[in-house]
Formats: sequence, structure tokens, C-alpha cells
Amino acid sequence: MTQIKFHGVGSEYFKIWIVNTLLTIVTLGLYRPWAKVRSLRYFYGNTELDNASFDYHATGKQLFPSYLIAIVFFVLYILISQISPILSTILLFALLIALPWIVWRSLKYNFRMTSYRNVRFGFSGSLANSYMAILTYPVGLLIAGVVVTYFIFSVIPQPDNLKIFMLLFVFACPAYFAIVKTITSNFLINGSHFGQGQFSAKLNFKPLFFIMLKATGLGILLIVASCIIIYGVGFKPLTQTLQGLRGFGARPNPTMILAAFVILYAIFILVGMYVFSYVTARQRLYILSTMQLNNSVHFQSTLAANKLFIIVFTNLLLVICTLGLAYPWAMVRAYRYLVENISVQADEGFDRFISKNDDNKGPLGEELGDVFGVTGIAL
Amino acid sequence: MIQGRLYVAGRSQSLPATLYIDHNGFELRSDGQPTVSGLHNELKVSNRIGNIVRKITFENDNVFETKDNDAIDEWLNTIAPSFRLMPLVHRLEKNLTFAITSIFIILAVVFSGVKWGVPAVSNVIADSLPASANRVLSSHALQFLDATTLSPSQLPSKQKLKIHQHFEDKIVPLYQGDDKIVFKLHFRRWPSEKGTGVANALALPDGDIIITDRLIQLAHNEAEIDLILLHEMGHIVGRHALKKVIEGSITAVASSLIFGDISSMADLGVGVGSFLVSNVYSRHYESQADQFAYEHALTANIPPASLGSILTRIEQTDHEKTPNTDIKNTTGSEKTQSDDGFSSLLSTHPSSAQRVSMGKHYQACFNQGLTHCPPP
Repeated sequence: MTQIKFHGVGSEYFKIWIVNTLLTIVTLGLYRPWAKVRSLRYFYGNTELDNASFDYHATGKQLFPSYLIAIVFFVLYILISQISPILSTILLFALLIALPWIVWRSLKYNFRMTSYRNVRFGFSGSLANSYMAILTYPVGLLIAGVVVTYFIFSVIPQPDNLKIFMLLFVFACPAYFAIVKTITSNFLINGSHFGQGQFSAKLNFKPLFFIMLKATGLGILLIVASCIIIYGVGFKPLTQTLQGLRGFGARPNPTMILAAFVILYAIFILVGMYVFSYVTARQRLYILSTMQLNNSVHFQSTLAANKLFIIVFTNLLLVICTLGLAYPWAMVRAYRYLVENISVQADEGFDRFISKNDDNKGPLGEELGDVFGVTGIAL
Repeated sequence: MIQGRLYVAGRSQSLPATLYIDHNGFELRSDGQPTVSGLHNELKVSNRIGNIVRKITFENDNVFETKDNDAIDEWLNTIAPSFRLMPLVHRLEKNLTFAITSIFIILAVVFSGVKWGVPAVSNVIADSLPASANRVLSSHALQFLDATTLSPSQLPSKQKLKIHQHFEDKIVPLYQGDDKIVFKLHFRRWPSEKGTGVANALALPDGDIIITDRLIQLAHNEAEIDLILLHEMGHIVGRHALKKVIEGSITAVASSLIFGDISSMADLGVGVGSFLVSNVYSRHYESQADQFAYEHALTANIPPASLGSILTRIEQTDHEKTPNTDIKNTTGSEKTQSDDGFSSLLSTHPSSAQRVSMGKHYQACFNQGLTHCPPP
């Protein structure tokens, strides 16, 4: 097993990032495609596996026209949403319909622009499957959930329906996320290739469901526990606010309510981050263990939930305390931990891969997804 | 002499290779491959970023890879002294002093952009747009408000008629602009939890002004209502709604372009930031509308302090949270009445203390019998 290495340094990336930001601002946003290329090349170029690094091949010039089109769409969208709430809902709906196309084109472009050892990656998943994974299943299941909820509340009498709903909810939510994760990951992995080599994975619902179920339990437990602790310690703002809400005790003053609100908010962020770290680590462990490249390259994850949580949490503190200036360090730190915990076992080495001639789709999808900030949400 | 590895086009296999470069051209030697030589312009060199591996692509798409960035740069400097953009960017990226200076430049540019740039640009755009833009903005707005928040007025029609008459005859003619705005007065009730109703007034961009029953009940005299109506006219004449839309769009687009790569983690920060910025803008417009009201009140011989008195009365009588208040201070809680920095950031309206002192300034002019008042 060979571990992936990352050679990026926070202070070096800081300077790249600050110059990127400055040039983007000074050029009123026009420099952004070049900034993006420089950032990505920095991260890819410093990612090394078995004495060879990755590379990102898109150029600012190549991205620029698509970027401009994306900006025009984005400005129209913002303008319309400021003027008419109804029209903006319709537009959001249109964006949702276009999302699988955007993600699909973006995947195709980004894979094609990424190389390792002079060989390009590629994505050959179909558009139909993209609609299946990103729209049909997630939205279809959501509609089914709404119908079931409506049924529970309209057919079953008062006190019971809430209990049944809560019980179902605790199981249905993890199941929903597990189904969506299974389908999107299968779509993503089985569509990817490296040169002529094909990535493959047969992900099952069950292991992913158990991960989500445990995460849900963990989340509920942590929230209840921290509320009990804070209440037990007798933290004044919280107890007073809670009493005030229930209608007895003195009316809490606004400062108290604010303090209580901040504390509850912090608890939710912390618990959310922990659950996120847990899910990320466990899912990756399972997914990488099933994934292969060409039946000859195997993968392994050594990501640990606790360590990931500590990194994500301290990164957040760092970025907040420095008013965003520590962002490059935080990025480098998180990326290093995520990437260095992937190990690769190539039985036959990497010498036999040859770039495939893919259909070369332009970067419009990529730029639309980027400017609207939707690609990350979808996968 | 530059050491590196050679990749044959599109293949993952590589072999050690050495690149020799001088003034005449280059020569590439590698084991098992014939030696290649040629001119400089046959080579495509990747841009330098940090210390990542440098790539030189040959005409046959073979790639020479090397970690010896400095040697490549040295060679590029000797043979291609012509100005190129990306090497300059790299030099900036290496320079710590420049990075630190950049922080201050960025802060200065963002600050002045927010403070002067965005308002100036939206002023220009808003003023150059035809009146139809205002109609688009307020189309169905009144119907929407009637359907959601407002209910028909319960005031006696005699009182409404009187206010309406006074508005048409005395107040509307005070504005002598050449943009032919048609002001229309609407009476509505804004129901509230307490049952007394919300005291408020609203202006729609194309000239509709809505005044609530409660506000009229709280008014002690005609002058107070006049100033409220003038304030709303100030919003319409200044095209404030349009400007807010444009400013909102510019901030939204700009912040997502600049901070777009700081994804979810900073979304919260950017969101709060643009919320604060938009509040600062809307307070600016409230002050402008106040000023419009005061100036026109002076010419019509209406005491300007009336605005301050009715605002204070609304605040003291209705200690109730109301959403989207236009004429009042944001909330009736004790917090907003104090003039501390934090709540003034959160408030969409200037604090009453500020507004009252502004009113006093104009009242002083009024007492001296002036019809025009120099701004304080």
C-alpha cells in the first residue's frame, strides 16, 4: 500500500490565495477563472502518489467564455429574485431541473482536465443516470416522504400520529441519505476512468444505512447530553430563557436570550460537525474498500472520525478568529488530512495506462455549477 | 542541463531524461529514445506555481517533467525577456511584503466599494432606468400586501376623505419634479396581535402610498401625517426601492464571486456581512427620505419636529415587534432605543435619537421663519 502525499504549505498557498483574491477584486471578478486554475494546480500538483504528481490542465483562457455566460445567468437570476419572489421560485425550480446536466458536464470536464503520470482521467457516466442519481431518486423519495407524512397526520388520530411520525422519521431519514449516497456514489465511481482503466464499485445500501443510522443516534445522543449538561450546570441564560419560554419565571432580558441562542447554536454546530466527520470517515472507509481501478489497483482509507472532527473544528475557529485570513492554512490542513489518508495498492504498477480520446465537452457546466455554487451540494 | 523524466504522449510510462538548453535551441537525451533537438519555440512550458512539477510539452505531445523550477525560470529569462503575465503573477505570489500589502489593499478596495462604489453605481443605474422599471417593481405589490398582511381600513370615510383631499391639494404639489410621478394614497388596516393594529406607512415604487389606521389614530394633528406622507414621497422620488434592488444584486454577485471559493464554511460570514451592508444602505435611504420630508415641510410651513413627535409616540405606545416596518424603528424592545453601535448595525432605520436631532435642526430653521435650511 502506498500512501498519497501532499506537499502543499499553508504560507505558500496563502500568498497564492491573497494574490488571487486581490486580482479578482481589482479586475471586478474577471480574473477568477485564472485564480481558480492556479489554486487547483497548486493542490493537484502538490498531491503525490508513488513519486508522481497530479495535474490540472484547464487554462483561464479556456474557462473564461463559459465563466462569462455563467455570470450573465447568475446576474439575471439575482436580479429577478430581488424583484419577484414568484419568478425566483420558478427559476430555482429550473435550476433544479438543470442541475443533473450541470453536474454531469462539470464532471466530464474536470475529470478530463485532471491527469496523473501524463494520463488523463475521464468520466463516461450517462446523462440519464445523472438525472436518475441527482433528481429522480432524491426528489422522488422526498415526495414519497411528504405523502406518507400527510397520510399519517390525516388518517391516524391525534396523540398517536406524532409518535409514529417521530419513530418513522428517525429511521426514514438515515435510509433516505443512505439510498441517495449509494446511488450517487455508484454513478460517480462506475462512470470514472483513468486512461483506459475503468473505476468500479458495487456499493450496497445496507452498510451505508447502518452508518447513517449510527450517525443519527450519535447526533441525538450528543444533543440531548450537551443540553442536560448545560441545564444541570445551571447555566443561567439557558435555564432562564427556557423558563421564560414556558411562561414562568421573570421575562428574560434580550441579552440572556441572545446568550442562550448563541450557546444552542454552538451546540448544533459542534454536534453537526462531529456527525459530519463521522459520516465522512465511515463512508469513505467503506467506499474505498469496495472501489477498484481495472481490477488491479485497490484503495484503502485510514481517515479517523475524531481526528477529522478536531481538524474541521479547529479550522473553523482559526478562520473565524482571523476573520478569514487563515482560510488558506485551513484549506491546506483539511486537504492534507483527507488526501494523506488514502492508500493505493497497484499490483501491476502504473506503467500501462494510456489516455483515452474522450468526447471533449466544454467547461460551461463546470462554470455554471461553480458560479451558482451547486456542484458540491449535489455530490 | 536539466534533469527530469520523459513521458511519451498520452502514456503513463516514463523514463529518466536530460534536457540541454542554450541560445540556439534544445536537445533532449533519454535512455532508449532517440535524442531530439529543436528550437525554443517548439517547446510549451507550463506556468510556475509554487514548487509543483514543471512540464515542457514538445511538438509531438511528449512531455518532459522536472522539479528543477529555478533552472527553467533562469533559462526562460535569458531567451524570452518579453513581458508575460503569469510569471509576473508568480513573482507576486512569492513576495511576502506584497502579500501583506495585498491584505490592506483588499480591505481598502472592499471598504470603499461598499461605502461609495456600490451606492454610486446603483444611483447611476437607477436614475438612468425608465419609469417602467418602477412599475415592474411594484406590479401586484399592493394586491400581494392586501392578500397577505393588510385589511380594509375601518376609519370613517369622512376622515379619510379629508386626509385625502389635503394630501392631493397641499402635499402632492410640494414636489415639483419633472418625472411626473402620480402619487396615490391608500388607507389600510394592518392587524396586530394586540388588536390595536400596526402603525406604519409604506411607499411602493410607482407612487402608491399606504398609511395604516393606527398611524392616523396616533397622530395628534395634520402636520404629523403630512410629514409621514412626505417621508414616503421622499422614498418614491429618490427611487429608493429600485436602488435597493440594484445594490442587493451587486452585493450578492460580488460577494459570491470574490468569496466563492471559500465555500460553505464562510457562507454564514458572507451572509451576515451582506445583511449588515444592506441595512447600512437602507438606513441611508431613511435619512434621505427624512431630509426630503423636512425640506418640503419647511417650504409648506409645516413644523418639521412633527415627524419626531409622531415617531416617538409610535414607539412609546406600541411596544410590539412588527415586521418590515418602514416608518418606525425596527423593534420596540429596550435594546434598539439605546444608541449603541451594535444595534445600530442591525437596525434598518436610523435611531430615533438621530432622527429627532435631525428634526430639531430643521425645527430651528422653521422657528426662524426660514423656508430653506442648510444641512447640519
